[in-house]
Order: sequence, then structure tokens, then C-alpha cells
Amino acid sequence: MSVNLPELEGTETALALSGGGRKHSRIPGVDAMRATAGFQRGMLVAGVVIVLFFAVLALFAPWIAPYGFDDDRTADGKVFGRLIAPSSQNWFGTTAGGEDVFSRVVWGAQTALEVILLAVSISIVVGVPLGLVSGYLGGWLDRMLVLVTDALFAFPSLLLAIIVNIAIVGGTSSQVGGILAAAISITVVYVPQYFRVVRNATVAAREEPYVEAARALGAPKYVVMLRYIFGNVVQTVPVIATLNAGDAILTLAGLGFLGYGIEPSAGAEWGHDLSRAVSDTAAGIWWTGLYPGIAIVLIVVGVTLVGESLNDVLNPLLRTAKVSQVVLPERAAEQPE
Amino acid sequence: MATTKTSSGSLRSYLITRLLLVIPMVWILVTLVFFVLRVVGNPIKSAFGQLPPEEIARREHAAGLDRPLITQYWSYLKNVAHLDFGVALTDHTPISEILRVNGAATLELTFWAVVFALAVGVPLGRIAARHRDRFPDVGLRLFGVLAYAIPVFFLGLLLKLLFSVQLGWLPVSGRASPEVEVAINEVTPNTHLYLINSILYGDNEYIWDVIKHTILPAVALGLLVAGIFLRLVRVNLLQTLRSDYVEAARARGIRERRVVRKHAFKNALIPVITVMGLQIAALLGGAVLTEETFEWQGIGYKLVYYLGRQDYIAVQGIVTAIAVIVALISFLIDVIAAVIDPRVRY
Repeated sequence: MSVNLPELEGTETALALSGGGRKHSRIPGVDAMRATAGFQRGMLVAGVVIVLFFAVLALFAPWIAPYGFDDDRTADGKVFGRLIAPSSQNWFGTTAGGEDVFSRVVWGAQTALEVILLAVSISIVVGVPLGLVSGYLGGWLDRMLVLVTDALFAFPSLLLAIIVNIAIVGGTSSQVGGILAAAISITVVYVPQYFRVVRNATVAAREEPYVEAARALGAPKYVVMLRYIFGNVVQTVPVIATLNAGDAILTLAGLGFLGYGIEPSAGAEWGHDLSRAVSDTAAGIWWTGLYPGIAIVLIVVGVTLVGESLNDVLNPLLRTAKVSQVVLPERAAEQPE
Repeated sequence: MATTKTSSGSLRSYLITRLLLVIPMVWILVTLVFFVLRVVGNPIKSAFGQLPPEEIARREHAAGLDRPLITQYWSYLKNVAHLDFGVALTDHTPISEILRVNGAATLELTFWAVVFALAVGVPLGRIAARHRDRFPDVGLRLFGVLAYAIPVFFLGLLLKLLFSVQLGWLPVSGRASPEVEVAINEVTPNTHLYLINSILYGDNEYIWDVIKHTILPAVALGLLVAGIFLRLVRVNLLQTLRSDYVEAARARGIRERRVVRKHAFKNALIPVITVMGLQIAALLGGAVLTEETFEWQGIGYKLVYYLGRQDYIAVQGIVTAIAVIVALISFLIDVIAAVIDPRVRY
């Protein structure tokens, strides 16, 4: 006899995530995958597939893109021409500058991936320790930092990134400089987020008995922070990092659209290409804007789907009930009612 | 920011504490912007790099930019305290003038965007929560993700391609046709709000012209915010639908539709109001991009214009003004939330 027991919702998830009682995988993501069901699993898988697609595009850009990102002619010197409609030679057409749109979209994936990885890493490296120390030590420094991050939160992040970008760039235009500058500008937006999350978790963990016990044993402050608190407060970081990555791509594109971020000569950037395409649209030319735009939307959708599903899995208030088929043992025939 | 501690939970003390928080917030942003922009170097030099050095030095002196940085900072702070945001270097327009004229354009744009977002996002969020994990919810959640993932400038471009270029129904850019713009700017009092101006002018065709120009930018920006509202309403309604009092209503045999409408929906909206306050920044950031896409001459359009001319005094003034506006609006929204929901006051 088998019945559906909706009351069992989440049990499986709790087990998979707690690591206690049930075998739990060392491969990152597998536990999360096991904890999802139905639509949620579909979202997660779709997101992962999209992100992997762009990762491949970025890694193998030199082989996938038929031309360089700012080439306006084929290898044997045949000029493409400006604003040519999509054809067999230029699959996505050419831009007003005579570059191949398809190649620029592919190279743009590389730029985006580089900037995002750098920006998210720097944000974590700066934000997490800052939150840990600030939350554990407290005092005026903590209050000051909280106030500063509050102020930064309330401000349009794009404007913040522009201002920092102006300050950093000051004339450099080499590719590494461009990507690093763009990444740092974006970092300013996300450091406060990691800081706040880790800081709040640290403040809560500070008074827990296990931390109290560590202190009572005479553990120095840094040991308490690194050995006892750190592992318990960084669990939300992967989710925030994923969601931020999507947001960071949009910020990068916004910067590019307004003429900041990556120098046009230093790399292909989707936002910059879109800003050039705005004037083309009035003449009915759609291919210069459509393809880079679709690339942005797709990659952000992919990253967001991954982040959202992870968030759903880790946030018990949103978790979907996974209805399990439970097989009950056969009842003894003469059991009294 | 609703975490302010007050000894008593009274509304008045909450408001005072909250108001006092506005000042350090603005101060931090003003300080940050001032010093970060000065890292680049002298504002006169960046704006007029082509002039001979003596001329640059003369203008520097005239603008007081050769004083020690800390003196400049202090006088700038004093000016900001009097809501004086300075004068643009390149075309000598006072920032207050830009706020009055172009601010009206931004206000018009963001107002219609929020109206659109509320009209679309809130009902859709409710439908999604009501049909959780079934077809409407799945579709609407994907819509929410898409609305978030699509940059306003790309959406604007697509809308233009479809409605302006292909169908020819709506204009490509601007706030009104040139001759309409000239005419309606002559009405007194000039509100700089084109819809009101055109109504004051009293020509139906002019009113229609202004409305036609507003639709695409408002939809482009509004959709971004609608996606945020949809997600907020959905999540909050889902959490409310799990609470004990809603369960109790169900237990009394009230139909699910009525439970959502009468019992859960209003309560679910309260936290949404608080979080909406935090979306002001997203709204204004989106407005900058929307204005640039549609050549909508608002504050954001002006900001990009001065950024392009490297007039960092104007940039500093506009950004500071935006900081003040954001701080005030989020204060107002927190006040509204506190009035509606007593729990916020603690």
C-alpha cells in the first residue's frame, strides 16, 4: 500500500543539506540538485545549461569566433562593409564600424566572464573578512561600516560604478587594465552585500554557546573567528554570489552602454555594442542590437535561474514540498479498529 | 533600515530617529563622491584640457579650486546643507535649474513607470502565489526572471524597433514633437511636466502627442520594476498564506479565493511597501539608462551629457542631488510603512 504524505515535505531536503544521517555528496551542487523537484529542478538544470553554454563560448572564443572582435575584414583582406545584413559570411551581419556582429557577441562572452569572475571574487575576498571582523568585534568601527554600507545600498549602483570607474581609469586603456578597472568599479556595488550578510550572521553567531565555549577555553579572537564562526556564516555566500553575478553582468552592460567600462579597442562588450546600435534602430537596422542584447538576456536568465533555485532550496520558507511515495508495511489482517 | 532601535515603540520617536539617519547617509555619499571624483584630478583641467595652462590656472582660481582640498570640501558641504549643488563648469547652468527643469522630466517618467509596474506587477504576483507551482506561477516566474534580466536599454531598443520603426505607431524618442515642445513650454505656470503643460495649453492633439511619447519609455522602465514587484508580492503572499491565521481561515471552510482576497493579500502587501522603498535606487538607476535610450531629457540624460564632457563639477552636483532625493524618498516610504504597520517602529 502506498500513500502520499505531504506532511513529510522538506524532510528529504533537510537530510540532504544537513549532511547528517544520509550520505551526502562531495561534488558541489549535487546535494542541491537532489533537494529540488519538478519545476525547481527544471529551472536549476536550464540555468546550469545556459551558464555552461556561455562558459564554453568564452573559453573557446578564439576558435568559435570566425574573426577578431575588431576585425573589419577577413583574414585574406576582404573588407566586410558597414551595416551589412546577416549573410553566410557574417552570420549576424556587421556593425556601423564594419565589424562582424557574431564575432563580437562571442568575444563579448569572454569579456563578461572575465569581468564577472574578477568582480565577484574581489567582492567576496574584501566583503567576507570585513563582515566577519566587524561583526565579531563590534564597536564604533562596526557601526560606521554599517552606516556606510546602508548609504551605498540606497544609492543607484550604476552611478556608483561610473564614479569609481572614472576615478580608476584616468586614461588607461590596455585590455587587462580595462577589465580590471571594470571589475573593481562593479566590486564597489557588491562588497556591501557580502559585508552585511556575513556581519549579521556573525553578530548572531557570536552569542551562540559553541562560540562562548571556545572563548571560555581561551581561544584567541582570530581563532574564534576563523575556526568557529567562519564556517557557519559563509553558507549563504554562494547563493548571493550567484545572484550577484547576474546583476554584475547587467551593471557591466549598463556601464558599457553609457560609455564606461571596457574600452572599445580593448575588447568586445555587449553593452557598448548596444549603445552603438541605438542610432541604427531608427533606420530599421536590427541586427547590430538584437544579438548582443539576446546574449545579455540569456546569460543573466541562466545565472538568475541557478541563483533562484539555490535560494529556494536553502530558504526553508520557499522550499517546495517534495511529495514522497511512502510504502507502509502491510497491516496485520486481524488488527483491531 | 527598519532596524533602528528606540527605547519606546512610539511612532514619533521612530520618525525622529529615522530622520536623523538621513543626515549621515547623505553626508557619507556626498563625501564619497567629492573625494572619489577629485582623485581624477582638477575638474577644470578635465573639462577644459585644451586651454593654455595660464587660462586653466585663472579659471581654477576664479572657481576657488586652487584652495586646499579640505577647505573646498567644507564649503561644498555647507552649500549642500543649503541645497545649493553648484553650477556646471562647461555651460554655467546651475544644478538647481537642472533639477527643476530636467527633474520634472524624470519625475514624469518614473511616475508612469511606477504606475505601470504597480498595475502589472502586483496583480501578477498575486496570481502567481495563488497558483503556486502550477502553470500560471511557472509562466509568471519566468516572466519575472526575464523582466529582471532584460536591460532597459535593450528592451527600449526592441520596443522602438517594433512600435516605432515597424508599425510606426509611436515616436522613436524625445518627450514631445519639436513644435509641440516649443508651444507647451510657453504656458504659465510652466510646470515642465509636459502632460500637465499640454493640458494647460488645451490642445487635444498636443496632449495625445505627449502621451504617445511617454508610452515606450514608461513601459521599458516600468517592466523592470514590475518584475521586482511581482517577485516581492509573490514571495510575501506565499509566506502569509502559510501563517496560522490563514490556515485557521481555511479550517473554517472559507474558500481559497476568499482567503487570498480577504485575509492574506493586504497583510502580504505590508512588507512589500518597505522593500519598495529600497527599489528607489533601482528605479533611478534604470531611469538614467531609459532616458539615454529614448533621449528623454531628464536628470539622468543630463548626467550622462556632463559625464561625456568631463564636467565633474556638474556630475558631482547632480549625483549629490540624487543622493539627497533618494534619502528623502526612502525616508518617506519608511514613514508610510511605519504608519501602516506598527511592527516596523521597533
